Amino acid sequence: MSRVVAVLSTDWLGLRRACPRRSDEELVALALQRGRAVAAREHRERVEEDLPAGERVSRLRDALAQRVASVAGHRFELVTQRDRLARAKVDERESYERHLALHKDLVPALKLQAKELRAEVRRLERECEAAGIDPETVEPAIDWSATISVDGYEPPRYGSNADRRAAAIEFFRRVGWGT
Amino acid sequence: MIELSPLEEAMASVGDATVPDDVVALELPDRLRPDGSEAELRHLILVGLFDLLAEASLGVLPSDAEREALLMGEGWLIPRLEADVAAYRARIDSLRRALEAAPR
Repeated sequence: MSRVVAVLSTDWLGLRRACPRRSDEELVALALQRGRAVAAREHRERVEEDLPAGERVSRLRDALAQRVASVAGHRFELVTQRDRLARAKVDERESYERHLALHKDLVPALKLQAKELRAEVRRLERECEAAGIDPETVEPAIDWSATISVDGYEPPRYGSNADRRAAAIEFFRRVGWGT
Repeated sequence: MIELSPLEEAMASVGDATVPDDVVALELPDRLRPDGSEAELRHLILVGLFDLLAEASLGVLPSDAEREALLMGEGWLIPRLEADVAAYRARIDSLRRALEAAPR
């Protein structure tokens, strides 16, 4: 009997769009073969500066595929267990969000700037309403759904990789993943 | 409007846990000897999936420097955030002008 593995449609459709000429069967086989090949190669967190450019690109590509796959795997667990996790406490959700932010190694300064500006936009919109101005008549408008959500963003405050690891392990232990 | 590559699209949204919970059941060919737990196999498929997205995205870039920038994350996050910041600033300027022009 064939093995069946589930992935989120969101992830699979991204691949389908990027490779429209290949069938699902081809893509499944190719993805598994590629995944094995990447996983079999030596993986280092840091890519040396003095490597030839092509070699650096190759190593960065391997590292990125593994890192993003790790985040996507966590997302799969979260999304498919959403009902259970919806009962989790607010602080656990925040821990998860911090965990994702750490994995994605985002750029805190720009995110904080965006967060402050979003708050300022909303404050001014309220001020306009209080002054009798309909903010929706003022251009340019912002398509909030197309922006990166940073309202709840706080920069990571972990001091070391050991702290990060401990925080992530503690979070997954509390929400019961892997048990 | 910033045109994102397939890899950038995926990286920009991979942390979004509000996506629909629809799943695709992928049947793995026996000839590939798919051993291991479902979670292990899913991880390998996702690694391969993102590697294929990287291949599709890097192939159109003209230099290793640009490929490296994309893989380091500079290719999607900073332009996206900078575009957001510019939009917020434009909105703030116009809201302030509207407030200044409003009768008191």
